[in-house]
Amino acid sequence: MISILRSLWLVFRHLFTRRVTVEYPEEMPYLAPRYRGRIVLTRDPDGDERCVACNLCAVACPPDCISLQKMEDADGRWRPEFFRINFSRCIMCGLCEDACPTYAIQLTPDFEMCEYDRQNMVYEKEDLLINGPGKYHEYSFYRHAGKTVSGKAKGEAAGEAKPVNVKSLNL
Amino acid sequence: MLKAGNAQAMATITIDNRQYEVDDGQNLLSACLSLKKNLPYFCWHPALGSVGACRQCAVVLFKDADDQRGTLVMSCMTPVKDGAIYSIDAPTAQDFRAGIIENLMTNHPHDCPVCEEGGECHLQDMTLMSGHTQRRFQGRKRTHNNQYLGPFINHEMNRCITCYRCVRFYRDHAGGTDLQALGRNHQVYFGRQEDGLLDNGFSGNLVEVCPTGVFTDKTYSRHYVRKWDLQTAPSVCEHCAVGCNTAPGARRDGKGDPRQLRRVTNLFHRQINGYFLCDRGRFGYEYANSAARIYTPQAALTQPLIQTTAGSAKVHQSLSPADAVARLAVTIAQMRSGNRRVIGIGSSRSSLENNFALQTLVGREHFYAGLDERSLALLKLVDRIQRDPRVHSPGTPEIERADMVIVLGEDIADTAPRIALAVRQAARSAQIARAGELKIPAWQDDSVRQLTGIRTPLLVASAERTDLDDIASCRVRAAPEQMVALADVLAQALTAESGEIHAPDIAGLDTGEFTALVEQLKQARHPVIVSGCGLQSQELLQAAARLAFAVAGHKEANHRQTDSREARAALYLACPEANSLGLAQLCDARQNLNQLHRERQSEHTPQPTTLLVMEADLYRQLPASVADQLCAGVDEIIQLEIVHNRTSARADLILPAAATPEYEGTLVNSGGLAQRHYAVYEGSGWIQASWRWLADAAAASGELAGAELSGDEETHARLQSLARWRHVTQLSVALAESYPELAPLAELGPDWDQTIEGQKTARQPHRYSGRTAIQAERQVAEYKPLPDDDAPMAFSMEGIQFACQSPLQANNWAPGWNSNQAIHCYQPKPGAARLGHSSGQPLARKAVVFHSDSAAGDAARPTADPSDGFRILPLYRMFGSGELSNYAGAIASVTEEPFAVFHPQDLELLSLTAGQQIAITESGDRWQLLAKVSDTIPRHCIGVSTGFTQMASIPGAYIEREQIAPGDA
Amino acid sequence: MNTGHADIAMTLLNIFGVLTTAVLLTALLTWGERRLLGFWQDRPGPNRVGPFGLMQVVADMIKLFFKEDFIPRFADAPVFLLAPTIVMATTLLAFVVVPFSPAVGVIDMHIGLLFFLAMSALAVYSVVLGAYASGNKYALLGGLRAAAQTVSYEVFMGLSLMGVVMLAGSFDLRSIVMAQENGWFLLPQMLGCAIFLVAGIAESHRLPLDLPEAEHELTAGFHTEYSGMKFGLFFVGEYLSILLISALVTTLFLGGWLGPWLPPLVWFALKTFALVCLFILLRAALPRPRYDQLMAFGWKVMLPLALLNLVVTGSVLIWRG
Repeated sequence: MISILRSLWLVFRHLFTRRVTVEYPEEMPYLAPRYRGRIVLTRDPDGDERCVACNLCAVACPPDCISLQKMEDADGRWRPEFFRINFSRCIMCGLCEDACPTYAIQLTPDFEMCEYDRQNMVYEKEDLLINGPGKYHEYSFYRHAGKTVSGKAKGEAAGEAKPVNVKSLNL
Repeated sequence: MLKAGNAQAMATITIDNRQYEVDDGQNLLSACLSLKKNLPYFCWHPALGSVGACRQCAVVLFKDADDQRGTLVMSCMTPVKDGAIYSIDAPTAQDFRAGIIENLMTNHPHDCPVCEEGGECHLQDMTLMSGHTQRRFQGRKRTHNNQYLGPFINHEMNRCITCYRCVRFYRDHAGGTDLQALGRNHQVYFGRQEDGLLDNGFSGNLVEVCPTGVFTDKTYSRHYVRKWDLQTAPSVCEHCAVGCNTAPGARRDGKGDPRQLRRVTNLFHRQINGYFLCDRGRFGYEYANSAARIYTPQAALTQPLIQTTAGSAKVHQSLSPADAVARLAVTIAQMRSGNRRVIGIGSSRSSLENNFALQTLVGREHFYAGLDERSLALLKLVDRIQRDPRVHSPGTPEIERADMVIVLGEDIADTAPRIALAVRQAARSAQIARAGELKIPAWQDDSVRQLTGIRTPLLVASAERTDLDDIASCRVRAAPEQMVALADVLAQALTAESGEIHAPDIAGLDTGEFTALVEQLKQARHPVIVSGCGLQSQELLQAAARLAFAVAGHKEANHRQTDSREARAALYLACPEANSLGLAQLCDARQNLNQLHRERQSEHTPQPTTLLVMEADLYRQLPASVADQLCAGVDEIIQLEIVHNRTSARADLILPAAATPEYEGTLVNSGGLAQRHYAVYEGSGWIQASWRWLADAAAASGELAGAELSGDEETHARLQSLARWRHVTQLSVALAESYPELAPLAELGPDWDQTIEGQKTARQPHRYSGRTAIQAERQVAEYKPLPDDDAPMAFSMEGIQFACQSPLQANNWAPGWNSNQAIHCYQPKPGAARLGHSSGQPLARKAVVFHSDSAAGDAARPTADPSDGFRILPLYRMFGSGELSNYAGAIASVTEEPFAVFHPQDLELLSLTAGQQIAITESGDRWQLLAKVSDTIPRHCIGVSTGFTQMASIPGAYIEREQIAPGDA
Repeated sequence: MNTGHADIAMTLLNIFGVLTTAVLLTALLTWGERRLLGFWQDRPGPNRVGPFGLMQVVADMIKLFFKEDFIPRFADAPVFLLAPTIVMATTLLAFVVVPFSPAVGVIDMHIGLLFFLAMSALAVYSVVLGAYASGNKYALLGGLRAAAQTVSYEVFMGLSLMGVVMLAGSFDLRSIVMAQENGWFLLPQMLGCAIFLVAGIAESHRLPLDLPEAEHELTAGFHTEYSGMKFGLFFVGEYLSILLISALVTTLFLGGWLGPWLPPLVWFALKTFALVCLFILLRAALPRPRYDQLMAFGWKVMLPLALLNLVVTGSVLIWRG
């Protein structure tokens, strides 16, 4: 009996507490930079696509809404021939970002991406690619990886020694 | 395993306080893997044995139950010992293994995301298994420059962990010479002396043998997807008659590209291919993606204006599948009412079911094999020889164990490469046997190889030098007639009680060598004789058979074999195409293209005639002039075909047929084993299996008004049964009922609705990605997966995922084992047959004793004087002689141009020079070839490249000197 | 009663005025409840449509009117259609006896209180018939609960009011109000008031005693199959009962329109409003009991208490002469 009255009183007191609702369209809430919203593909500090089409985001994706195809350019870099995210299936879980070994795929605090036509929720690489490095300003995968690309021969990646000359006698 | 898998003694061992029964005589690593223990390793390979190079498989061995410390041993180098106590999980062993992998990884180049091996990398698996997650090494990474190794293999040397598996496979197992370990200490480099194509025909296996991404598949990289994105199903290689099992991988392209087939990998089959495939089988898959591929039905335009500008080739335009079926149905309806004659031409590279559907459509009397007279006669002869109870076709393990091999005339390195690889292992069987006498187990690879100078007797009789010459103890280069003489003398020597046996007159074979050969053959307990259709000589096949019978008689008399199976002689006869022997079961020797041509020339029927050609190129079998006459003599040519060829250029209607990985069917290999291949992917465009086109058209023709009114009862019944077939397994059953030889087809595989515990088998791995995005560009709502009417398999992730649960599951994966090394999880022990039912049933051919008949001999030599004419010897190339593989881009890029090989003296006689274009003419046909010179070819013989796209057929067996002239520049 | 034209006009005005006000207030209540719930849960509640979200009511009505008028094919159509109207009709009928002020009130009956009890007892038919006609297992379960619950609580609802009747010496609601000029019956009849409140909540099956609906167990209980305006009628009926019970508590225990300074109607409205707020607060604060607890509470606690109240009141009255 007392507990019932007590709960009535406690609930009644809330008439005089502050409301926590943020009235969204008039008042924009603060979203942290690591909020998990719309997915973008970033570029490395040199302006090249970061994505190397390794497919790890696609396999990590729980609703399987990422699809891409690897191609290799004349400069030796791997790139996605196409990179497609079906946002009508995306659950913004961020596992793709976790899986990405090159910081290419990143989630942004933008979530205002409603469409009347579901087909418009399918984003291609051209729609996803932004002109910047996103949250990670310095990292460039190919500066660390041992694979040769134009402008970086064998032995020029971070922490690499000059290539061995197998035919030399000074091994 | 290299060792014979007979009944073995068992040993009881203790691993981590649990007791196990394991086969004695094996090494501890193999035993641990048989027990499905996760023990990391690199340098060991079930087919290559142990060398103890990588130190990764260390375990602790305890002296006795009281021993607490134990000693570290390399499990791959330790034979299991009854009563021994081991520990895999002991901290010392774990720390040691973690240290080894950390060392191996110090120079690894941080490029997994851009490595084709990523996701199916043994090194990744082992790193995880050993628990190395954090890089502590601060020094610089050693680097190497890569080499160009040709269009098949990509080289990325920095990924190497120096396990030596590549050179052990390439040099020791496959007999290659141009890949070796260079450099020293921690700078060892695996490569060639200089950039260039790896010239061994098994180089593709480096992709699978290398535990990491040093050697990767270049063709796969061009349309690369990760292993987990490939849908797969068991298939059979269509590029030769050995019948290797393959696991093609396919994935739909997200941009609507019809090219879905991505790669072919080995599917372990103990009796055929084991762990290895040849390069034609591995890289030939690209024909299914070639620019010449037919995706839609096409009809020839009838406007004469356009036709005249295109010559005899017709101009085609696409039409809808319904219209195409309707057109074919009209033809069939006319045939039904007796107003048209339809002649069906079957295919030796298409399945039994497709051929049977065609035969059902046209009737047995109008069904012809898509082979010339000579080829079909050879196949029928092979069939008759194999029916003899005195011989049997050996499987690969039996060939590898043979203590003597006689290769008669067949260039198996180019026509049946996997058999050549097996023969190469047979060359070591004597060494292994000697090691066994010294109590050295066969898996002690390095120790066994110390026994140099002991080789298995191996006679290679060939028309030209072959890739087996380096291991042959006796090499003979001769014309087929001389090989026949050699085989007969050998047979005589075996059967004759005593008396002088004279060596046949063959250049390079002296009496001493011959006597040794006879002696070796008499001593041999498990000799294997290999021959085939390659030289297109019936005499040679018969001689090989006679020799085999003599061997069988000798075995019975001298070794007193108790097992009747053991008493039979092993005779391997190589056939040309994947289903040659299957097609031979469906037709008589007279149902060949030359016979058809003669009939068409002589008789003139009042009705119009249709040539219904299924997956065969007439111009490949017949000289162009004959094929032209055959085509011109009919009113309509309808072709079911995979890729455009010269026959399809003349066809009035072309229907797109499914390539082997796109439909389910049965192929019979050279050994008489019927094997089923399954659809790996759905096929693009309007592709469907040939029999489905025929069944659709038969059903449509029944609906055409008036079709039922006339025509005979039998035709009507045939067409009705064809129209009723919905599943390929129904055709298999019908085949089994119609042909007693093919009765095993009824039991070949699961019926289309036969699920396992209510589940189908999934073609896609459980990690398949992009399901809701890959098609989203065109339609955001997901498509329903296509149903499979032929097999209990799903074109999706739904169903059984593990190869141990379903024989139809070809995805080689197990938890913790993402690379192809996972195969041991599906074997009772490494190297043994896969768990579950292995595909393939031998044909039920009735045993009939073979009598060689001289009537079925080769074409007689036209002139008595050998100096006047030349013997044409067909020569084969792994890259170039395969009809379909020639359409594969990478293979086409390394194929030579058609050539003719002359003895230097002959070349001089004809006043020609090597490197010059020459022309051979024969009754209206002209072959332009590149003249080559070789001192190993017999005199008065011309070796002519056979099966090359530009000139597939070759001249008859003999030509006159006048027929050879300089060609156009 | 006079029978002049002016009186007829006055009576008609009274009737329409009372009915319209009741229905309009109900509509407003749907908004008011949600706003209040919102405040008590630290959120604004519906505030988008119109000023303070008042037009939400209109929006909801448009929605309800334009929904498909759906009758499940397994339902008993005539009864299914009839059921929602019963609850509306009986509750509105009960309003006729409520004296809002000396001037406002549809009719004065000698047996006003009995009429109210009769009408509220009839309302259960609506629920039971609707549930039965739906042909749905959840609806049937809800209907069964409603029948048992209403019948049980009906008993001491009547008993709890007998104290008031004894004090006032009349069933006429106007007389009961007038009898409170010297003091509200709340004080002498505190127990009766509490019992009546609980019974009233149970009768109008409001939270926490909404066992017939109990969406966590029975989807939506008796109105599972109802949608559109038919559902709307059930909905309005429930809010009408809240108003009715509040108005009656005001009349019976809180002195009706009586009060200083302000006009009588305003006093009545204020008291009723406060009670409505209490109803909503109960919903916001209290969880639903189990069904067996509800029945046990009714028969084992409320009924003895109601009887006790009756005996004590009677004894006191006799003792005081």
